[in-house]
Amino acid sequence: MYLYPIKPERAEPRAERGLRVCYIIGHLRFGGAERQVVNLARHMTRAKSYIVCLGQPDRGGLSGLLPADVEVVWIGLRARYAPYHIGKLAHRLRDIAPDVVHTHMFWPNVYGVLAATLAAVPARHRDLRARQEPMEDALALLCRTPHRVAPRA
Amino acid sequence: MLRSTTLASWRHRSAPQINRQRHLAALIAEGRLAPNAVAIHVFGGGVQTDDERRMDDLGLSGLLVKHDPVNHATILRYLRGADLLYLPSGRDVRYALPFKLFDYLSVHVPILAVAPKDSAVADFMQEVDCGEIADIDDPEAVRDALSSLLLVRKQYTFRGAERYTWDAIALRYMGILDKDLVCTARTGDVFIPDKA
Repeated sequence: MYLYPIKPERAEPRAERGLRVCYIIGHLRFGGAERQVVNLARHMTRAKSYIVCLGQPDRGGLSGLLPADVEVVWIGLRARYAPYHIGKLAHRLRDIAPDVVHTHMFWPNVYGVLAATLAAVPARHRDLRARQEPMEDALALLCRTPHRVAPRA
Repeated sequence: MLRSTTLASWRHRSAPQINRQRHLAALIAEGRLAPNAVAIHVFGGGVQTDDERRMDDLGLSGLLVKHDPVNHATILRYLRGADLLYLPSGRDVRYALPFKLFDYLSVHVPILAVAPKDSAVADFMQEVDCGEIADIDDPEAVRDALSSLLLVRKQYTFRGAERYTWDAIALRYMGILDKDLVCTARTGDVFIPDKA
C-alpha cells in the first residue's frame, strides 16, 4: 500500500511514452553534482527528464543551460516542516510518475529516497559521495535504494 | 621563451590548490618562464583572503586575473586560448572525475593533472593521451610535468577522448537505467503500485 500511488492517466506503457527520469537536488546555481544533473538532462535524448530542486528558485546559474523540454520543479523545503514537505514531494512525484528517481547530495538523498518510496517509484538511485552519512545509508537500506557513482567508462 | 600561458579555473581555488602554484613560482624564479607569460584566471565568486595571502607569499599575486561570472561559451573561449589546463584532484575524492575535465577535453588543449596515483583521474590520464599526470604526493613530479608541458611542448593525440563526451556518458547512463528496469523495460509493462 502506497500513500501516493501514480495517477492512472500517467501509467501508460513505457514503450509508448519513453523513459521518465527525475533528478532530485538542492539547487542549480553551481557545483559538480548540479552540473552532472544538468548535463545528463541535456543529453538524455531517449528519456524525458524532470529536475526537482528542494530550494527556492535560482535566477541564472546552471538552469540557464537546460533545454526547454526539461521540466524543473521547485519545492521550497524546510527541515522544520520536513514531514509536510516529504509528503508534498511524494505528491509531486506521483504527478510526474517517473520510472527512475536519481537523488544527489545529503538532504535530497534523505528526502528524495523517502518521497520516492512513498510514491512507489520503481527505481531509486542516490549518488555515492566522498563522505557517507550513517543516517543516509540506514535510510537507503530501509528503502532499498542502491548508490551509484557518476557513470565512468 | 614561452609566451601566453593561461591556467583557467571555474571558481576560486582552495588552499592546497594555490599551494601547488609554488612550482610555477619556481619556474619563474629560475628564469625558465617569463613572468608575463602566465596568468591565473578566476571566474566568479572572487578569491578568498587566505588564498590571496598565499599568492602574495609566493609572489604570484601579479598573475591573478579576476573576472565576474561569465557564461559557459566564454569559459570555453578562455580554455581554447590556454597552452595548458590544470586539473587538480584531492585524496578524498579518488573515485571522481572532476567535471571541468569534460570541458577541458572538448577544447583539445593539453592537461596537467595532479592527482593521487590510484585515482580515477590517474586511470583516465593513462587511458587518454591528453597531457601529463603528476602524483599529488611528489612535488618533483609536478614540477617535471609542468616543465614538460610548458617547455618541451609535446603533441598529444587525444585518442579515447570521444568516450568522455556527454553524449557518450548519457548513453552509458541510459544503459545502467535500462539494466535496472530490465523486466519492465523489455516487456513494456508498467509498474502499478498496490491500490489496497
